Amino acid sequence: MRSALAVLLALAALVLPPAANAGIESLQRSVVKIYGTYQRDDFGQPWQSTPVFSGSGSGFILPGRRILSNAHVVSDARFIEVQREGDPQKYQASVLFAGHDCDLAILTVKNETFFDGTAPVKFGREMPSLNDAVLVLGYPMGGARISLTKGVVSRIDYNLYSHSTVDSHLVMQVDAAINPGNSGGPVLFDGKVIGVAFQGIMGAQNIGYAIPLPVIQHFLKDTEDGVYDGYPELGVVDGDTRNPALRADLGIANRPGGVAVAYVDPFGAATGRLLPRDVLLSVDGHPIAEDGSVRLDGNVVEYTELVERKQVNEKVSFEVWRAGKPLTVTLPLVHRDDPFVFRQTYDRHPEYFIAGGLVFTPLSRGFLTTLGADLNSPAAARLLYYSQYAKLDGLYTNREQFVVLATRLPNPVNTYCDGFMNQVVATVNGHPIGRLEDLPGALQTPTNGFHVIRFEGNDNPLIVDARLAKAADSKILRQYNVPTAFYVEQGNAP
Amino acid sequence: MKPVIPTLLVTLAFAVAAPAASDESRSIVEVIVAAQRSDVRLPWRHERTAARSGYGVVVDKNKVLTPEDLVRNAVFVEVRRPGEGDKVTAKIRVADCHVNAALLDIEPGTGIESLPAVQWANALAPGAKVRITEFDDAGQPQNGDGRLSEIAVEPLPGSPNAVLTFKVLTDLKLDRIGAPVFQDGKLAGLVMQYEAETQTSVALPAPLLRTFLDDASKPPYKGVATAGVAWTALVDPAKRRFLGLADDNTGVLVLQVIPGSGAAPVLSPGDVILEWGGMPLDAQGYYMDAEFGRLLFPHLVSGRHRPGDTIPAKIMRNKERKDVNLTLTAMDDSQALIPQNVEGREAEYLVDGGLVLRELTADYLMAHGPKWMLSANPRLVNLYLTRAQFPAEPGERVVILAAVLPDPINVGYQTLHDQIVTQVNGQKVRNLKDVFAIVDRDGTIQRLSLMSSPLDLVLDAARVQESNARILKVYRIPELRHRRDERQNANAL
Repeated sequence: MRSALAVLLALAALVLPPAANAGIESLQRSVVKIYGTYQRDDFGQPWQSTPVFSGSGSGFILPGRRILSNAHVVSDARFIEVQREGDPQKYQASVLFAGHDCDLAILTVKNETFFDGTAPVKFGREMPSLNDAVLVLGYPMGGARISLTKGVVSRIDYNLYSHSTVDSHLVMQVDAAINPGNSGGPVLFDGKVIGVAFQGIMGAQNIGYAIPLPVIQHFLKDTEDGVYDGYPELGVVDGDTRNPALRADLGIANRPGGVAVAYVDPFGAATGRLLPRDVLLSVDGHPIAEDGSVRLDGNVVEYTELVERKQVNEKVSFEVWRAGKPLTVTLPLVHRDDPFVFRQTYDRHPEYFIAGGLVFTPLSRGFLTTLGADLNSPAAARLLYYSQYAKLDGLYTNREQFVVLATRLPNPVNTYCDGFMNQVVATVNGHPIGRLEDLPGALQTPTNGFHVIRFEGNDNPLIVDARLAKAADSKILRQYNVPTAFYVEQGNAP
Repeated sequence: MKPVIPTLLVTLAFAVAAPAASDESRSIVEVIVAAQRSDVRLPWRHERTAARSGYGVVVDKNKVLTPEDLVRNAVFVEVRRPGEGDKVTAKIRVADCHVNAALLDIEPGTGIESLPAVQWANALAPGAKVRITEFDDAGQPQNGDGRLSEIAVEPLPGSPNAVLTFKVLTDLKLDRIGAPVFQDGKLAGLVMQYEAETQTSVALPAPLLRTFLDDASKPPYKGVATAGVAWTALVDPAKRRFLGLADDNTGVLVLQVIPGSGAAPVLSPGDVILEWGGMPLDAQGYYMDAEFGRLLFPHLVSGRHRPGDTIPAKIMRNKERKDVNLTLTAMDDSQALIPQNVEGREAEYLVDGGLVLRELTADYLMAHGPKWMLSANPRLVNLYLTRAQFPAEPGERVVILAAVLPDPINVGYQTLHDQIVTQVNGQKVRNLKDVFAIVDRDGTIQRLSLMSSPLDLVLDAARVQESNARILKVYRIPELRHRRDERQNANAL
């Protein structure tokens, strides 16, 4: 669904050797089609969702009457059905786990007859090598029935997972055709699953991406306890230490390897444990090279791969060179919710607060996306700065969110407010606004009968007549069909 | 059929003969410019030479007036009489982007010397009949008759400064800027912009051109006056009541006062300007101009006064009326944290160990094209949008690492660009001058500290000199640093 490869591989042109066909029939029974009906959030009108649309993806049977697919196949779905190859019936399915950071999801079907005659697919033990032949099964666009494409492993590398827009993990690139609808289908090597097809590159040819075995295993293991925690974030930005002068400055001129800590994310696991200018010499006993790589089972991988393979609350141990001395730092991979990473969110509705027809919402990726062409304006360009430099430049201090004036529902009380849209609220009636829930309280104490709303980096305050705004509130909500003036996700409410 | 042909011929003959008789077209010259823009990231580089041409008018013996953006970044300027081959070298005496006007000195002893100077139109009024003149390829004048419409204060085409402009609608398709607008054979303005779709020309009016000419003819050039106030309309009734203003639709709100300007000692953010130079201002900043009708009051600042003039103003501060006097200064953003550099002058820079350091300017950001706010570095864009005019201390600029020219000396740093430099060799830098002083003292950059980055860039001091020699050669850089001559700086204002 998310993948958008332009070239469709003609199925007829595929000539498969008989050997490869042997196990295919049983595999076909385990690969299912997933139908979804979706509604996205409408950040322009956060109290309602977009029109309903439908799509489809693929998935395959896991032990325990479960189905593995991509998170993006089931995200924001209002209704999900699954269908086996050759079976006219569709079965309603529900999501057990959705890992938005790794684009994987587990579904189940209440009606057990769905699983009759299916067999869980087997996972491979290890990743194939470059040039190993792989098969992709699924239900891509261009026909209704199962499709099989064949290719080789072209590359294994870190890459962005576009579903969350911020997470990068290991990705397997194959030259077998992966098209919209293939998402969630298995990639097989030697008859066993070693990947899940998930994304492509717009305009590129013969590049399809699959989520490789280590990421799948991480997800499955994470969900074993019934809760999906997600990947732990170490939260270290490392600097290149190849420059001999910098190495001398860091006191590691006579040592090989190591990467220097350039920045420690306040929401990462390493915060308070690792310090800027620390040199990470090894991770769990594996020496780190100057470019950040380690040797693992004969392969060269980034040192972060060792952290990637761990679950939340497991420990990682670094040999660190700090202030001229070596020391060992062992830290638990604790998980902290990071509102300032601006990950794309799903299956939760945008929060908002409306007063005097002014619609306030927390800055989010969904909101920025809504701005679209309007992004090339001073206010929106500044929102980009807030979203990208929130932590680095300390903009997040004393805040849980950046509250933005998103739009207005036109009414005489807000006629002259247009110039203030898409700006970050600093204070309301002198009260600092660090989260949406600060607004109702701040509006309880008008300044001489007026609400004085100040925005970051703007000397011009927005003034609203408090009495007129209050009087207009219920009328505005009725007029614009807004069900409630205030919506926050449960758990966030004050 | 037959009788028609002679009539037609007569008409044609008349059409050709008529313009030749117009005397004012003899004051028009073609201005031919070879211009080079500097590359903002690698300031010693210049973009390919661009050739462009337009018109100017003879205002005195060997003196030609033309739009500034025509001669912007010029490396070579020539003029010639339309339709003639002889080009004569011209020198830019004064060019001011704040009013989009330039005065050229023509090499004496040529055919240009004998051309008559234009006469100036006196009263300009909306609706006045005007004629725009330009020349075809054969050097024949082409006239477009129209009316002077829409006199307004609007931003110049090549600069954010708003000045008095007027529009003319004609059926003459203009090819080049600088074409004169005549009223009864006298100069009413110069065309700065032409929109083919609406056949509308935007012209700089004679009063501004005359003021510029007077100033430019008597050195030192004083420049365009500014008060140094950023203001906004005060229409919102809630805001008016909040500020204690009457519902009489008067006064504008002061948002910012630019340090070092005439407003700095007398105005504060939050003040409401009610009257300027004796003229009441309405809530959108308009006043009734005796000559041109309803105009935005910046014309009262820059159009009617010179730097050094003192203007009385009535303001409201904390709900109390107050009289203040304000001395205008010359428009000049050399005091700004992030100068505009509308003219696109070559930036001062330093290259050391392959690190390219310069100061941030608006043209650096805008070199990213029309979507610069999206594509330029967000931190730099935010700084420009919020603090461009406001240094924390006088002389503060934003020193940036614009690029790193890869060389063995700077391995590991080569992907960095658009980073804000906070310290050089452990010492705080406020501007590039500080960087020059530190490098003069220490010999080279040994340590560069970047904003929000605890990991400095460290260079091997013993090897910087040899790397510089290599980098100069490999990247074809004429010199390791470019410092603008202070004297030149003053003249270029």
